[in-house]
Amino acid sequence: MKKKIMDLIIYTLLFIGAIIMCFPFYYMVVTSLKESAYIFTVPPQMIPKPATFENYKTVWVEADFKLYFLNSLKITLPAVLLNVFLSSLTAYGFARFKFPGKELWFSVLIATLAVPGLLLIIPQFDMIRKVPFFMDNPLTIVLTSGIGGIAFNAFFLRGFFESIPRELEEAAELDGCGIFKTYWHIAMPLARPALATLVIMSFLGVWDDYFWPSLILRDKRDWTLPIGILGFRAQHGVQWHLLFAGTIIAILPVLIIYFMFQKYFVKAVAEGGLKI
Amino acid sequence: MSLYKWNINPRIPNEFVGLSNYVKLFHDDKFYTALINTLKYVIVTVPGQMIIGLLIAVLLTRGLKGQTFFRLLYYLPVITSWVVVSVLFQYLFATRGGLVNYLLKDLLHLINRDIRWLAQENTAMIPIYVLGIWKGIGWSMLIFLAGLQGIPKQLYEAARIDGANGWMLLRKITIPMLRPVIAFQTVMLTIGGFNVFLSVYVITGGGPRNSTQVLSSYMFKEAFDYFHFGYGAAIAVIFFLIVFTIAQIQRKLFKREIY
Repeated sequence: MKKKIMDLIIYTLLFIGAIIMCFPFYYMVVTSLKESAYIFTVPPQMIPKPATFENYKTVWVEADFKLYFLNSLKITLPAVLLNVFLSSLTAYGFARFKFPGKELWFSVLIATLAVPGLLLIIPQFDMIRKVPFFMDNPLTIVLTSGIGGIAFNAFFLRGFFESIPRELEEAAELDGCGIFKTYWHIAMPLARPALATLVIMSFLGVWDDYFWPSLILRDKRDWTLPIGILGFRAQHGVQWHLLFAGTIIAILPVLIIYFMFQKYFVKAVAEGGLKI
Repeated sequence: MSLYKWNINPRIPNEFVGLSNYVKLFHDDKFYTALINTLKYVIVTVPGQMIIGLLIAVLLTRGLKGQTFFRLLYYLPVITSWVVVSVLFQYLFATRGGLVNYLLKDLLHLINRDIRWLAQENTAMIPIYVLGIWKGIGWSMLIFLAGLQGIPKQLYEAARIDGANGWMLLRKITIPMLRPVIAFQTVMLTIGGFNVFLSVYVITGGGPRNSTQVLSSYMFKEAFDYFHFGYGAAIAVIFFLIVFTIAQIQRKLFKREIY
């Protein structure tokens, strides 16, 4: 009996907590379904009446969110592929090969993690803007995001590669596989769970990045979703119903990936202590 | 760069000015405001995230049904983009028609007038703190959950037999056993807290009258609004030294726990 009451109290607490954590999202969805006349009513409507999808249509077509969405996609997909490919190559190299100063190089790589990326942005920007080709070019973001975070990813992946039994790779080599083939056909498939985690992390990082792309992509036609959201807010002020339709479009892919791959998320955070 | 008067026009050579950017920085009131705001943000949000995160983690390890579901929901703010949640919080804390004012005034009757959260110097940091804690709880919870799984169940059983209650279990077993996790989180969250940027940039833009400026937003403003690249770089250097020193001190303090 006493345990039952305890359980009930805990459930109540957990529910209250869940409501606090999720209500802002619910309210964002509700607002995005409201007509403009209803966004500042007191008391605020908790269920939109009348509910309308018109806002989504408006931002998608008239406010260029379709363009921003495609731009985000065009940058994120190649950047993530490049990022995972380069990170795994780096990690594999450190996991499987002996070369002079290996551990020293690895600690130098890890040391770069101590410098917050935000602080390097001024010199980085100054270098990029001296080459006109790189300014206003989405390719720049693909490349910089593709390279970004390799140090951490390599640190994360190295352990996985080292845990693969060496015999498998030796057998492949005996069968005539070169180094690259062994890496591609043996090591990569075996590291799949870790790679899935990496893909998700990398995706979130590139998809949500605002600061750096906003400095490089000044032309409205190149804007990604985060830039588009703040650009829309700057231009149209507090048209929250439209703005939130836009933000929901922006977080939808992230939510879908999150719910599909949530077990990888939990693993990544719990084991690697990743901040994502 | 921090030693130059950096010119925005690449054709004009940059002028070497020695340490004058730093001298200016040490006499800059706005820099001190930004520094103090950043420190306050760290002091408020780091324990805030960890205490709530730990509580939730403890509640979630009691073997109740639906744990995965709760974990999924609590983690949701962590994965949502800073730009989106910042815009959202700006709306929630709006003066008229904002949900927070409605809750406090019309529903709970705690206040009798709408608070102008973002327009007053002494309240404008509050939404930023709340957002910082709200968004970080899930991460802290997940790390604590992993840590809690490492505590042997026998410890609790033995203590129960000796007559310990729930609160004593938490204080005498859970928290001491979690020391390495607490140390790790403190270091990570402190570094993260110092880097607070987008919430300030989006919600208040550093205003009103620079009262919510933090180090990163001040650096951004000097560099990319006023094109004072040399001065911005000087802020970045001092900023880095401060974070680095604090991280090292924490590391020393926690040395026993981490290694």
